[in-house]
Amino acid sequence: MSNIKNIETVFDPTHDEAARQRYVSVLRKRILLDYARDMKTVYDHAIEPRFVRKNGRKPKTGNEVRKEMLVQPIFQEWSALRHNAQLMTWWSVQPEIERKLPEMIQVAKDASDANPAGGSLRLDANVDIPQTVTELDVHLMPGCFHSEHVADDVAQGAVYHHGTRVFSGGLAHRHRGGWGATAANALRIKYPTFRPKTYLDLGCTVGREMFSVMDVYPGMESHGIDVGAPCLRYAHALAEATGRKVHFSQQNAEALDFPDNTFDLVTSSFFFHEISVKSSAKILAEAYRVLKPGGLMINQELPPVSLVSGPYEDFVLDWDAYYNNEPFYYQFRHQDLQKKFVDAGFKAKNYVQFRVPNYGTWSDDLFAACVRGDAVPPEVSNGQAWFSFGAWK
Amino acid sequence: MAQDVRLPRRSKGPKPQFFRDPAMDHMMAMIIALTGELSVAIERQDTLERLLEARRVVPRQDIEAYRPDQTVEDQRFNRRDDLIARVFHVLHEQAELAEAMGTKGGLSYVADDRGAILGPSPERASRRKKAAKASSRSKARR
Repeated sequence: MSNIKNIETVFDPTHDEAARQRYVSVLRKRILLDYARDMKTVYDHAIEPRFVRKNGRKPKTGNEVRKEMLVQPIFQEWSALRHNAQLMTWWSVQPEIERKLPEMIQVAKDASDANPAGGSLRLDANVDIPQTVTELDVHLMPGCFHSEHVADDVAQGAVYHHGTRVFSGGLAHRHRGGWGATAANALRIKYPTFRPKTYLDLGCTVGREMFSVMDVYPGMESHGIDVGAPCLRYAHALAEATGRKVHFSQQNAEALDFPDNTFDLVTSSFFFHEISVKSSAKILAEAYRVLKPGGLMINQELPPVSLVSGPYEDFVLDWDAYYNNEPFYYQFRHQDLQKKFVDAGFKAKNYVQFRVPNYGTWSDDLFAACVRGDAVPPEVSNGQAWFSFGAWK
Repeated sequence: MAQDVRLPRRSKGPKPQFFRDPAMDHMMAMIIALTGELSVAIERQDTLERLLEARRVVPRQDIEAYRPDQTVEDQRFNRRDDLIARVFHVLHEQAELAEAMGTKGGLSYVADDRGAILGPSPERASRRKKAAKASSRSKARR
């Protein structure tokens, strides 16, 4: 380990700020579990039966469900709760980050100078930051991933890091697992002879998910890219303080500066839904190019339309597209993912996808059984299970 | 200077309107924030009470510096969850109403001019009242 300060610990909410954060965390739990269940009850007992009576059939698409639900008070109230909780998540951590910013910036500089883990940070002021980042604050996070308010800024990285912990504070994956750990452990069980030596994470933000992957496959030469400099500075400081050697660089995933055939493993997490279909095609082609033959690209996302339990689940999963400044979610979820990989150069037979429970929430035996296909994992929602998709080169 | 940085509070992008009247969206935002402040106030009071129990005079810094242990944190989680459940009970109530409408003899409900289902229909309510009266009369006769 190192003796530099961990930037994550430069975070000291007042008594009342901590109370406000905890309120938002519990509110989020209520919204995604209890009130989501109540909304489904109203749908099952009133909305769907009325539709069936009027149309002689159940709704076939998420859009048909949505049309019924838009005028329904419970949907309006649930949506207002969810939208406001999202905004309050960021607001609840901003004041203390403003207070601590000078210290955070110094800690990040010290981490970079001392460089105990041996990683690196390469920034590029000329990187092409996509309009999807500059014109829309993703997840309603004011300032998004890239805004810099002062020299050597790390604020947006800190807001993202601490905000997402508040965001999931009331849910299962807050304490154990998360996608990185879940996917990497699933790969470990599914492909026991796969031993990646070189690794790239796309859209790494503050690095948390890639660190979990690195823990399952130690000793990889690891790279993380993102367009947001404040996130990369924060990620570098976090990596160095926790003994993880990562080379961070500011790049747009559509045009990577790595040579062909460089990486055994390429990952992304909740990344593709934030990008247009056209842009994601370019990114997949780049991923194919930099993957070594025999390498694997694996990504995590909400499952596509073809894989959900029905139109109601579709309607729920599309919420972010309409209200969370994630306009590409709808398009993303309506794609044929396997075809997308084939268009990028991968072979159809090498496409993989799986849904497994959050690692650590249930027993290791159940986890392994789900990976092998001997047991059925819970539906993907609220951190109970994760959907992964990708392909071998 | 880094000390003077004020992070933006507004998020770029279209602002959604969930309700017919935009003032309703504003009121929801106020209620949700207000509930948060109430939660904060309750926690502050909780801290004060625990400290007052332990000693007769409580310095101000002690409230600021108080950090709950896991037992306290678990109790507070329940209290917080309970507060939210009470303030936003109207959501759960709609689920209860929907379940009560049921499928016995078909779906019978009241809807507004946009087709929003608001609850069981009055005829059904009065049929229930009649049934309840009849059953209490027969109980009295026994």
